[in-house]
Amino acid sequence: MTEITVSIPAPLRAFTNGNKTVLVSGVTVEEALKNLVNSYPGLKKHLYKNDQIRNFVNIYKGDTDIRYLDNEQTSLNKGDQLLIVPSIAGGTI
Amino acid sequence: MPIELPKTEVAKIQMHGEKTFPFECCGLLIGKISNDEIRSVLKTQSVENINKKNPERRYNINPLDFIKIEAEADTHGLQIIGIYHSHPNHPARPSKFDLELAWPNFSYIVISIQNRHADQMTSWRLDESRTKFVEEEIRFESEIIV
Repeated sequence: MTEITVSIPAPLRAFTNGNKTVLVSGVTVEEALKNLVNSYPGLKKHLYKNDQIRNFVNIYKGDTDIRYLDNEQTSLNKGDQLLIVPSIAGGTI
Repeated sequence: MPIELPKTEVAKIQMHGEKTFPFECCGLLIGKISNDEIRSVLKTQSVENINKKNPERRYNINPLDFIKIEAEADTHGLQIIGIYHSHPNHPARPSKFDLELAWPNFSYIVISIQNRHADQMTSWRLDESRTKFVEEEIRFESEIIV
């Protein structure tokens, strides 16, 4: 089993029982995130819209945004770390 | 539940909004949430608005700034509990765009800057349904001790 660590940002920790990091299994980012929301269902509506990762949700594998790797097909090895990093944005209109 | 905001940090937010006018300013609220869900801001951290396309109507915070400040807050037993941003010549109410991009469990402080002068300040939390914001009371405090 490929077990990796997912780092949870502050606004989502209420959905992971207050934990800053959680362990999930997955050989790709897609699989790991699906296992994450299966384990912590409260995360789903904040990470996904219409089964796609919301565009203001950044996923990093280590120091690299997965958009610069292979997106959700980015492969994972045991011990890798994924970071969920909020894109904070807004505006007047 | 209310959010407690020291008057020193109110002044910092006001100055930030006035200084960056006519562009939107933004920053992070760092503090604690108590067991009875009272939110206490201990400090604010201004950050760069990296939206250079239309900063008069939009703000973006660099995710790397967020990571760095969150990690630093963690080392002090604190956390990022919200965001502030300004609305130049616009009311202190969150927009549909704010709603679309909002994160749960954050307080969103909005300050209206009218012709370079700080005006009303309000605070909002994303409803569980993600369909609306709910306004929360801001308690302006002389000092917050946690």
